[in-house]
Amino acid sequence: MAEGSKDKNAGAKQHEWYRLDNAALIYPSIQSDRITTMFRLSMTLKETVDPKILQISLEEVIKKFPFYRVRLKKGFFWYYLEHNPKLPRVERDVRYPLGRLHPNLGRRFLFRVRYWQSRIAVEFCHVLTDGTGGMTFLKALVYDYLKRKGKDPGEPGDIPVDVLSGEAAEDAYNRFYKSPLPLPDKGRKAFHQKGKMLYPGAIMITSGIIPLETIIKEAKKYKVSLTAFLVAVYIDALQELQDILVAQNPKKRPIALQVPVNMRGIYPSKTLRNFSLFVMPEIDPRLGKYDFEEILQIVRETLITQTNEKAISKSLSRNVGGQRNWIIRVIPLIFKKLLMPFLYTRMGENLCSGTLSNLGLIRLPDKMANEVERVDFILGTNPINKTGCAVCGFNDKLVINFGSNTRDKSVERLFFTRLIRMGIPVKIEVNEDIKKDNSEFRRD
Amino acid sequence: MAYCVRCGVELQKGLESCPLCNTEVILPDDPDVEEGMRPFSERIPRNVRPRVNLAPSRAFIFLATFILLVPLLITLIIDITANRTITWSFYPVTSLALLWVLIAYPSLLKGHTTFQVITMDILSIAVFLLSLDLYSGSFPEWSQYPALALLLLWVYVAIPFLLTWKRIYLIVTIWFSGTAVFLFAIDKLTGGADWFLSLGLPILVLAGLVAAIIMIVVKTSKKKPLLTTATAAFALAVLMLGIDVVVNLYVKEMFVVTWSPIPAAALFPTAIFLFIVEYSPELKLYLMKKFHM
Repeated sequence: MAEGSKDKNAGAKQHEWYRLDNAALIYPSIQSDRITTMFRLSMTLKETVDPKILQISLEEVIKKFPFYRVRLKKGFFWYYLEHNPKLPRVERDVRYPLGRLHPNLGRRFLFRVRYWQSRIAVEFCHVLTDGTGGMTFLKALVYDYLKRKGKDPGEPGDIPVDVLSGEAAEDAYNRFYKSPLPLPDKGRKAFHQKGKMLYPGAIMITSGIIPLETIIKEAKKYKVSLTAFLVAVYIDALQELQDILVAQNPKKRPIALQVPVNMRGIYPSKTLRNFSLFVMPEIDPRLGKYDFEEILQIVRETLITQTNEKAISKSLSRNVGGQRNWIIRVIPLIFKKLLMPFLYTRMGENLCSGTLSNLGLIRLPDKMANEVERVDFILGTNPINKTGCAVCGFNDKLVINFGSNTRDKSVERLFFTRLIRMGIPVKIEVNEDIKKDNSEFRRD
Repeated sequence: MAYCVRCGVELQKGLESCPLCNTEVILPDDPDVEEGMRPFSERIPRNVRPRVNLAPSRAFIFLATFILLVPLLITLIIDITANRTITWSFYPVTSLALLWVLIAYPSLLKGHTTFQVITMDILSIAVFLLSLDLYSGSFPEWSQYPALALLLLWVYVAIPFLLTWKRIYLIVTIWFSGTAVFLFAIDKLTGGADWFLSLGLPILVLAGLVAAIIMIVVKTSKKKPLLTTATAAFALAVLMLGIDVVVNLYVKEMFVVTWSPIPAAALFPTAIFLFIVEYSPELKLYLMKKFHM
């Protein structure tokens, strides 16, 4: 009898499909070997991972997230997500993570789970979700894994243990859309790092591990949040980089950072699909060199004034308004696909010099936290900005991961040496020792 | 614990140089660090290139079949009710059938290859044109020419897929012989003056020789763009001189050159200059310094 009901359930799921949420609409059209639209979250446990148990956990956990058990399909007007009857498989980790997921190859899931020694990593395509959704999935996976391993992870707390549906799968952008509001500023083309790119698929990861207490103390000294502090350090580093590359002030470009804001804190939604927008703290070096305090003040004020409900609803209104526009809706997908990359560079990547995404302090149930050593967050690269910075804190450590598709590590160096000069100790880890591992990523 | 003397950062175990500034690590902790200590796996991901799938899905074929069926039935019914037989509707009906074959054929064939699809597409277009010609009266009136041209197109496009680019010399040979056969057939079909042996074939042979020279140079001297360009310029000049002579022999029946010295005057010195630059490192360096951008 139990089997019968199971089959029935599976039958119902096969007909399930989802529209892409507003933020995800653009990603399938711009995906390439260079713009992978991926991000990665990982937990390092205290013991070596058993892939067999992880596979069982994954098969169980994915059933609780029906809106992640999907594959991407082309409709006539839009892409959509369709229930994927297959089950995902765990794979061994690689030196260059965050490689592109091919929509037509393999099991066609829009995420993958990788293991390496004591680490469990999930790599999500942005079509599916943002950092918050990905982290919820990773937490549920590790929680289930630990339980199967015979550990006691304690009470689940906010970790989902039942099948999620309804609100968790909603497109919150559309729910909180208000009829047309004034458009946000168009923005100007920002400064971009120069440099020869690696082969598509290769990525240089530089992790800086910092004692959380020290860096928070430093941020408190300036009376700013940790995000504002890190953004200011990043902007300062990019300012110096531009000073090295461009001699004359009038030829300099604005330095702006894309800082994702978790909209779940502003609007009451529990969605586990995309629900974040950006704010862009910006300085204009044509006006002269900014010292660190000046940058800090600009960043702090931008973060405060741009992240309130009123200011952010402007960009929300523009994005969703575009999606709801009748003229845009009746354009067949093949033509939309031609338009999207243009929109992406013009309205997204061109306007900023880099991204700093702070997932904040990751909270786990106490007993589970004892089993986890470290949490990492890495952003995929894109050919315009080249370097992206992702931050997350766990226990007493803050991990700052730079992902870059050039060999040149000037930004990373300028960023971390600034912290060192402030008296904050930094430990560096990389995925490739330039001198030792001289094996270039092969083309074929 | 090892630190970078320049950046001041603590370094991961086993690094020989600082990842940020490339400065050598003075006292690497433990140079023979085991694989187990690395923060990332050694495994390099396989770089898969997706195959572009040109075939539409079965659902699309299904949809297209019914969409095409509507105009097909309407034209047939109008024609039959008015004339009691098929007259003008032959043209739209065959056109729709052709369209259907072009769309549907690739996906109806299981495990199709590009070669099969191209062959089928070209074949069905040829059959379509021949049928139009046949239906409109005296056959063959005009359709043999586009049919031959389509056959030549098939030789150009489909043969590479059949033989793969590894056998490039064989492919080019087939291309040239195919072109020769095509020209010969056109010459015979149109009647009139015999131009194939005295005009078409010599030019074709010349072009083939030039193509062969360029191909051999490209293959033997890889990554020498100057040498390739020089050879190409030289061969092109020779080709023009040759064409000029052949055309004059055919038209005026005299061994003279007329227009070809003009392009040759531009191409020969360029080729010689490029040859010299290629084999003189000093000159190359000088030019790079002067003209670097």
